[in-house]
Amino acid sequence: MRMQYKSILKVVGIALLFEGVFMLAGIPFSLYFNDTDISALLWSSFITAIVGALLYFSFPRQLLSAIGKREGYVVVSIAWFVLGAFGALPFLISGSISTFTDAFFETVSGFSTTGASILTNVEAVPHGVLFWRSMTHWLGGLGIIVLAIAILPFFGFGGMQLYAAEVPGPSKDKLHPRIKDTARRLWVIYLFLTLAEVIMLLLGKMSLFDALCHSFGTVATGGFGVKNTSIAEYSPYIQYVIAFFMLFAGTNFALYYQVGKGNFRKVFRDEELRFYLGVVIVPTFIITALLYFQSDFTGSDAFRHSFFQVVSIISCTGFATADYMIWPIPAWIMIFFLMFAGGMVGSTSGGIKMMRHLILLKRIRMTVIRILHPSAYSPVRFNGAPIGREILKNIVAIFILYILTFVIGSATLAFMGVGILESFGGVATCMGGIGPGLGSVGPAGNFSAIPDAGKWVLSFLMILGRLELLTIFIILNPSFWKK
Amino acid sequence: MLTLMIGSLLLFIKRDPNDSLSKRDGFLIIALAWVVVPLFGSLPFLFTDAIHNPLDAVFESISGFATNGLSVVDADTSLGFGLIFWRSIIQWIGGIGIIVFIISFIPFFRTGQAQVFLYDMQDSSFDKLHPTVSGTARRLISIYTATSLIMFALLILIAKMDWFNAACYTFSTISTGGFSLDQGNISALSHSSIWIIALFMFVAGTNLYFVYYILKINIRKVLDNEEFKWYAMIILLPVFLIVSETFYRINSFNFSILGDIVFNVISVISTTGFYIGDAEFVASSFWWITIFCLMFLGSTAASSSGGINVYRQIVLWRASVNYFKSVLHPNGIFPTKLNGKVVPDPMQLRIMGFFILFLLVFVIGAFIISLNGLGFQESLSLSVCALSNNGNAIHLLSSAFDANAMHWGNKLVVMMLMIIGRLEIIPFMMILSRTFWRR
Repeated sequence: MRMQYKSILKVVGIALLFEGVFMLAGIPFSLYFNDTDISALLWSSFITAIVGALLYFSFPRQLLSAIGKREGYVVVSIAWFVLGAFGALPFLISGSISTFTDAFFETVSGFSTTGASILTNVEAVPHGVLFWRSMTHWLGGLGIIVLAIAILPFFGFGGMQLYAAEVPGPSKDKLHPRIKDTARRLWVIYLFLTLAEVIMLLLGKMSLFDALCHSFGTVATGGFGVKNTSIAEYSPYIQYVIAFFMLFAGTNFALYYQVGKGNFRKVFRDEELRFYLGVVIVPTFIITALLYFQSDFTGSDAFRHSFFQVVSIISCTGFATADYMIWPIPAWIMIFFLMFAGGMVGSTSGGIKMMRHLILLKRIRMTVIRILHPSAYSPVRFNGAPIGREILKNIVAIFILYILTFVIGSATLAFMGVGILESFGGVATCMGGIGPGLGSVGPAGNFSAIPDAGKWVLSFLMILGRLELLTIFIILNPSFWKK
Repeated sequence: MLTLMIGSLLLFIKRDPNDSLSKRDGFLIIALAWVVVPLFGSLPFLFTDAIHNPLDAVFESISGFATNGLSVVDADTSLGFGLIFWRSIIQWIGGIGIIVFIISFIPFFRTGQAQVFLYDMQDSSFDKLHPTVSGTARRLISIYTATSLIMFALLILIAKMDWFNAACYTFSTISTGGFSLDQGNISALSHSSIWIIALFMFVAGTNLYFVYYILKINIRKVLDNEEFKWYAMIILLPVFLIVSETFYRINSFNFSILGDIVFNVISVISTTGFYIGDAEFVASSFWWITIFCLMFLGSTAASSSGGINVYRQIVLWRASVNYFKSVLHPNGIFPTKLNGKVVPDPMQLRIMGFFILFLLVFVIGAFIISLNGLGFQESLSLSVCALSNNGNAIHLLSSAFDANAMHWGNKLVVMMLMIIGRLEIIPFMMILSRTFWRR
């Protein structure tokens, strides 16, 4: 079958239209704060929407149903670049960011819900544009949830296939109709979480603007804040609220669907959830101990900062209540390694994801047992169901590719002159969609000093990580485009 | 004194029961042997009072047998000639020891469909050198010895080294160990010595079987072999990249730097650990990251090098690539092959398991090391140098590293990592798993 380019363009058009409309969302705040960015927002919105409309209306309606698997790959991959390019307009036109490289980086960081920033002074950005920055997170998260639960499994990735029976997912043939149902349900949960957090934050005496921006950043597991110090200046209550909502955002949304249906037991028995919580709890206690004994934190502060940071990194959000680079070294070494964890499957988190780690570990245990008792045949099980070979191969391939990409990415940045900590930390954090890295790109720093070529590499890595690596590699393969 | 110690050591080895044992016992033997033998090996150091601290003595001994190369001795000149010789020879023994252990145990474990990790090695480039196991072992030992003799001769004849140093460097190189008089730094040696050492590091990292074929002038067989080609590539490619980056950065071209880079890369890949240090490397983060990652790799199986090993690298890479292909063409079949033979799924999964365990042990090791005050770079590089048994190559990453100054806790951790890495991790996972002790 020939590649249906026109269908692809039509879908991209829809996306651009939506993007253009949402750019206007920050205008009320611009008016309220008397900022100068209103015309910038209007113009960006206008340009984006016009291009979107042109693309959408130029092609007949029927083309939408012609989107097959291959077109889907392409749409999902290029959407990030296209949306990223147009999304950079508010930053550029308002002058908040001067170069396209930087603006593109910031926007892609937004849509991929990474949260890495090139801004040296967040607080100097006008409110309308700042709102758009957080909005990119929220929109990105919306897209990602649908991607993770509905779209990617259709292509055989994402790990959600294991939940296929529980969540109304897409059927094997038509991509189009079922996606709508699933997407709608997910968005309800997403919206609910956002609203809940906004309310809780407002109760903590946060301003509406701050509450919205931070909620957008949390539920999307993004990490863009409105202060230069991220979350450090807010009250402990607010820090705990955000910490818990990060934890929620990193959880599999399919489980929320189950909760909604009343299947509590199923939820509590979920192996990935238990593993996820375990991976959060153990490092929290270790780092708490480190902070308390090897540094001068009080017990409750140590726990709060530790808990917040661990949840932040594992859920791939990236908010920070402290600069962990000044913590005892073992603490941030552990944080660095946790960047490779990833949240649960079916959430807005990035990274390798809990389920994959869990299954790999189970498989290794099985290998060790089999060496001693070769006749002991028991397949690795997840939540009771045996794991097929295909899924194991997918997990293995992604893991290896992840490490390889990390190595090559870090070496590339180092080749450009970036330091060791910044290369390792920057690549790990962008691939996992986290945000803060190590060294001068850590929580107290930003990515402004990275050479431009490095910013492009990192932007690419953010998208790569978001799409679970495979999609992009598949598209880059020439045989994909034949026939 | 020395001979007494060697004597008691040999006695111990002869006492090893070699009759029929279960698999469990087999693993226990391997693990215990690798702890007990070095313990005996440390006695010479203690008895001659050259190393006062028993922990240090054991460390030095383990470092020798595991062919690591890290040394906790203060100033090497305080060790008498006897001890320096002893230190070198235990590397040599350790080097061939691990190879022979593995070869001898393969059929031992091959009961029907036994899926043992050692079994994997059999499936790589191994043809049988000899119909019986002990015959193969004897052949291997003779190849090992022959190679050593050749190197020894070359060092004396061409490099004009005195026989004592020639012997020590031979033992250190052929076993891919890396003990030397200056904590691994051999910049002070003559050019010809350095090149001979480089050549034999490369050879030592090659499959011993290949050496056999080379000696039989059957070079074709070696060059066609996939593992050999891959091994050559993982040396040439990094050399090329590092050379590009270094010369681009310092804006000039220099043959001696090129030589240094080649030497160091061969050393790291063969997990020997000798290094030629120079300032222009230390300045570059690209150098650090590349060398650091190379430390994980390791050379071919059936050599005394550590790391992940070439055959595993090949299988992991090909398995991933084939997975992509199968996603693109769902109806195609893409079996992963090594040297023309298909790699069965269980073996692929075992290889993957090893890779992940290696990383896991590395991560935990690095974390524990950092608890004792070492920085990010030092902790990570020490962990991998211990696990891959690179040893002194750590000086390529942290030029100020002094093994002697390590906290005693770290010395313990490093010793454990050395043994775990030498035994390819699995025996330790065995011991840690509950199933092992049941029944």
